[in-house]
Amino acid sequence: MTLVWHIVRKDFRRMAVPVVGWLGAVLAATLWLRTRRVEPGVADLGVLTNWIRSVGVLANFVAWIASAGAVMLGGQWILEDRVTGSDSFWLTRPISGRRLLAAKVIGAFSALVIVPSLLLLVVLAACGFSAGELFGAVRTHLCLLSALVLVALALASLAENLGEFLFAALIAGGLVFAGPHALPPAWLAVMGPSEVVLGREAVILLLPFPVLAAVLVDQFFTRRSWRWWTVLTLLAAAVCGVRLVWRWDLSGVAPDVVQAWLPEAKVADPAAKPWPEVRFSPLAGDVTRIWGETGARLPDGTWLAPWSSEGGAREADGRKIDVRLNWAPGCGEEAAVQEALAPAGGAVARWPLLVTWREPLEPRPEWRTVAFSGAMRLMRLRGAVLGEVPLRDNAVVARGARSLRLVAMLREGLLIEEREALAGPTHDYYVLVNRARGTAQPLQMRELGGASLSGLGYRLRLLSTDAAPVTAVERDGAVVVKVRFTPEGRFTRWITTTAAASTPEGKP
Amino acid sequence: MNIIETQDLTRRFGKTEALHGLTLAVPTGSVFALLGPNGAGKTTTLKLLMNLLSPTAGSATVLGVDSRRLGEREFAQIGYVSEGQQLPQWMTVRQLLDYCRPFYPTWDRGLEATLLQQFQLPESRKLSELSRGMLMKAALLSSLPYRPKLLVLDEPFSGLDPLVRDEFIRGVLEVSALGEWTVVVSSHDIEEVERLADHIAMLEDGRLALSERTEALQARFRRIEVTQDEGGAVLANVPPAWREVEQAGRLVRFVDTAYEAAATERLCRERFPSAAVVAQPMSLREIFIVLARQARAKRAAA
Repeated sequence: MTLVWHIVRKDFRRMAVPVVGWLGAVLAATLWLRTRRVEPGVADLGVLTNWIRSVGVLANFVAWIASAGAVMLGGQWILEDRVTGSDSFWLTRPISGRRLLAAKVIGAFSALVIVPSLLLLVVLAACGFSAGELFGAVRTHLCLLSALVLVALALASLAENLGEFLFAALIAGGLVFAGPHALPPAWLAVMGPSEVVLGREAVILLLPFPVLAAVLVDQFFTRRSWRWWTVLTLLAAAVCGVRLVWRWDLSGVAPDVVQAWLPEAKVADPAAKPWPEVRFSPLAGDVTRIWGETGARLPDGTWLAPWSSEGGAREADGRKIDVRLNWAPGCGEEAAVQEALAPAGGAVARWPLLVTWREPLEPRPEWRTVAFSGAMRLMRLRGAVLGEVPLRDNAVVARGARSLRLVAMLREGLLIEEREALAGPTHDYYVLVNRARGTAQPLQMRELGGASLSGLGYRLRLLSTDAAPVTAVERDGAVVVKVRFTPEGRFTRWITTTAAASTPEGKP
Repeated sequence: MNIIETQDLTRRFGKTEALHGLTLAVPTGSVFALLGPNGAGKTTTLKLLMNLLSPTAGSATVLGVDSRRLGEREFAQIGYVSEGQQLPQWMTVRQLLDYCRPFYPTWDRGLEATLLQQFQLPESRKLSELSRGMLMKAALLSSLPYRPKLLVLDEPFSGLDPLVRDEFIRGVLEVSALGEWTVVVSSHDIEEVERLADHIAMLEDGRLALSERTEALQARFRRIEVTQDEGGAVLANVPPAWREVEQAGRLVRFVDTAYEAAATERLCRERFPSAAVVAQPMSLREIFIVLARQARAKRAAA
């Protein structure tokens, strides 16, 4: 172990300057983002939007640089003692692959994952973040950096020089960017917090990481060339991947959307898994819409939200048609907030659902007999009031580093500035509450823009009502309450259609 | 006792056969030179011996261990210096020595100091700032203080100016005199090796052309000049050991590859009864050229 630390010290000495430069740049940018604020009196929404977008672009650029820096430094950590090729200094020294691997992993993860996360912890703690927020931010940071460094170490262990490593890193980066476009939408729906998504798709999507770890370990013992691994990967892709890709449905990339209203859709007993009795008319096109509700009451303060789904339809002749279910975005949220805020009785969750047929459908008479069945994965969200801010210019509610500031009351709505630690997927809602009058009015939220960096989030939002701007009368004694729903768990329900009535306009 | 043995060692790169069926033995304690023109397979051979490459066929043992199984214990007894080796250029000479030292239980700090003084290397200068010759000396310096049983030098003289070469060779000779070290050196620079090696192996197109003691090799090669008093020479049916036979008037020249004074004299007398026969020793370089020509002629005939 002494010799392992000896190698670690050598690598630290070698990489100290670039690592310190990288860390300094990222932390400076984080602190810079921390100081951003909208000056009081700014009333031009266009100017504000452009400003927050420029902040977001810059933050994204720094985040990209930080990620690219982690990959580059991770790669350089390995290339300092190249694994492949026959000219490395260590190959003819009494340094085993096992010892060098241990030193590289300890060194790279310490310098590029642990130390930055600890520094971030200090910086965010100094900013006043709570323990929970710090934990969340640092955990996210750790996971991201660990993934980046693992990829970098594995790719560098295959490369004979910096050029090969950069080429491999570009390919990997391209795959990451292209992934969301190539993967089936149902798979993308599983990308989320681990407590919500531990399904089969998530396991497959995460599979590259243990595979890369295995490649990294194997390389230090066998020193195979990247050509060998390329052949192996292509073979594996041929054996496993082709069948998978073959089943992916890309026909719904630009679907001809037609909606149908199915008022009797209901959740069935999961154990029974019945096929539906009801027929319905999908009309023309390959997309239809189902509106349903759980019919079950939820505990106070919780809300059900759709996460992912899969299903099928069966024609009158018994032939089964695979369908893909996509959730229609942005529907039912206000109702859910109001219901979740209801003092007693819980909520009845509702959800909209887009059904995409896997194969293009031609209008045929027998479609009237098509019935639908499917499984839906639902998230249980728990809501909590994060704070309330009085309805006056520059009013602030702050807890630790987290703040909510009502910058101005513009003609277009209430301009709010938010600063917080980044969390996982959340659903934020705002309600205009006037306790004196006993009213609560949900506010529509429009994201003007935002920036996030190293666990720190900053955004501008515009809140408005459906009707006219908030009146002076309504302002009197009113507060904006921020409610945040966070995922609490996931479960699956079977849904069946029990009626065939349709409304081509798609309105319930 | 041999410190290195190979058996039918073969290495292919795609369709190119860099080394073909090499069977070789390097005696312990020898200074063994692996000679051959560029592309003959010298570096490939050394890389196979150091487990830097895997053989396509055949096997090799180094320090009694299969070359593919060389580990920390064996490499603690091996010094390897190659012109193509990637040294940590960002280190100073002192840092290089400090980094290498803990890996070798037998590292002798006294010897390190002696060699440092002898090689006249600036301790505080980075390797990236050293000249090529100094860099080779630094590599050698980091491979000697643990008194390796086997020192492998791959083309150590490439690109070195004569003065540095001389210093380098003197350095190797001095350290080889320090103990029972075996030195294997590959080079296409025969004149430099001549001063070093007591064993010679020659590679030609990935095949072993010869392997024997330097003294024996030089003893059995002679350039013979036969000056006849009168008449023409009888050049038919010359012994197969006579190579590059040529005649210019009354003068006949050839290289005897199996020289033995009495026997050569007798064979000459049978063909040139009244001629004066002069046998001149040959340098390794001359021998090498004769063998290279012979190999080329064989290839052409094939």
